[in-house]
Amino acid sequence: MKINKLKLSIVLGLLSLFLSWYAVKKTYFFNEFLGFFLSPFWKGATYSGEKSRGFLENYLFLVNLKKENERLKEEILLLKAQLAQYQERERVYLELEKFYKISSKLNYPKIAARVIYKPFDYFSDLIFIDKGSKDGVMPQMPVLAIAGGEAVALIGQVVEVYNHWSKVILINHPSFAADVKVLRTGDRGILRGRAESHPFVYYLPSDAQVKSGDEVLTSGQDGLFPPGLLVGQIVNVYRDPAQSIFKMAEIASLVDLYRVDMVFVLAKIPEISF
Amino acid sequence: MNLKEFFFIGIPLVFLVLFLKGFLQSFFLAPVGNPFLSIALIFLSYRNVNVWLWIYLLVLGFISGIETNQEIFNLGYFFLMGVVFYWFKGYLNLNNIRNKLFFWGINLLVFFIIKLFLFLLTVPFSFTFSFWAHQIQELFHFFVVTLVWILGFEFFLKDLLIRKDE
Repeated sequence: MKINKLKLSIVLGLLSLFLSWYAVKKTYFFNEFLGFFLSPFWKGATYSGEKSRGFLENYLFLVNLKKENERLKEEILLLKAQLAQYQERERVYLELEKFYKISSKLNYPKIAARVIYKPFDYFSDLIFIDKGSKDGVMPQMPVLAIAGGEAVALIGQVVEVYNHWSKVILINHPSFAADVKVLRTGDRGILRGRAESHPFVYYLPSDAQVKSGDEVLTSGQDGLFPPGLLVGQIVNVYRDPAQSIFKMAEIASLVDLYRVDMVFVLAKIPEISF
Repeated sequence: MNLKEFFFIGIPLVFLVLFLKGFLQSFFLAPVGNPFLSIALIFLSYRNVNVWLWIYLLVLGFISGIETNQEIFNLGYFFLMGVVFYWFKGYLNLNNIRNKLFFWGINLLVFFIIKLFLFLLTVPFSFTFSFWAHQIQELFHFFVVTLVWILGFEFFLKDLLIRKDE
């Protein structure tokens, strides 16, 4: 085999270069060489890979985070709804507790009911409640509500009863009437509605010393309402323009009749039938 | 009015209005006129009185009556409105807005006056200024708010009612 001297000298030269490179730098020349050319690609690849990976990781993380966020939001909403429900239940429970405590002297069964509709009209004041004949509600039963958290007050009377709901006329309805008396003076009169915000007590004696602020209670003489039910307070006293031998008094209910959302039907059967 | 209009316009409209009325009066804590009367007047303005419109008027009257505990009065009024309109349809030209406004206005006034009359039968009223001022204020409120309902229905239902033939 004939060896080309030139090629042999090149190979030997390179070998000695590698060896001397290795002896001096303790690295491989090829690596250095290749590294010099390839490092930009490596860098680029690594950088883009890392960035892509990071992006993907962040994206997936964000997607997960977003999902988690949405899930948490839903959970918060659900919890808020539950909390509101529990708060409402607590409020109802407290109101019921308060009502039964305050009304313990009324020896009649009480039926708690929710107001389901308030049909406002120009000449009638009604509310619809969610209790009917299946719950023991009967026509003409008195309807009460808590007044200022301290007392129960008469707000109306059941007029029509259906299986699951009933109609209640409020004390300012023109068809409402009750025999009442003024607590301080004992004067009696007839409470009637006039489809205005306040009902009136008619037929008070002309010498009655009633005045603004006096409390008005049911007298029990009408056989419909038990005696001693608080109705309201007198706000104005007038001479009756139709029958001047009587006085009449404007009454403010102690309950905001248009905002009441929970009432109590007093299961008292009227003593007289109509 | 035909069967299709009754079920696809009339009845859904009643439910929509029932919801809207309940919402608005709970929001404002005040009466919001009588939208059922408004619906009746709109249909009477655009349609001939036939069996379906009679039934629809009765439905409207009954729903309107439940709310005020005056079912019989409302049923009767809505029914009579149909009868009167049936008789006078030939003499009434309800193609222009002036005549329509007159027709609506008269109906609203009559409806309110009858209600006021029934109310006066039940309350021991007196001829004091404040009492009558209150009634006039209520009449004004009823008239304006119900007219707004009518104009609203006119705006939304006009095309639908003009295009369709019975």
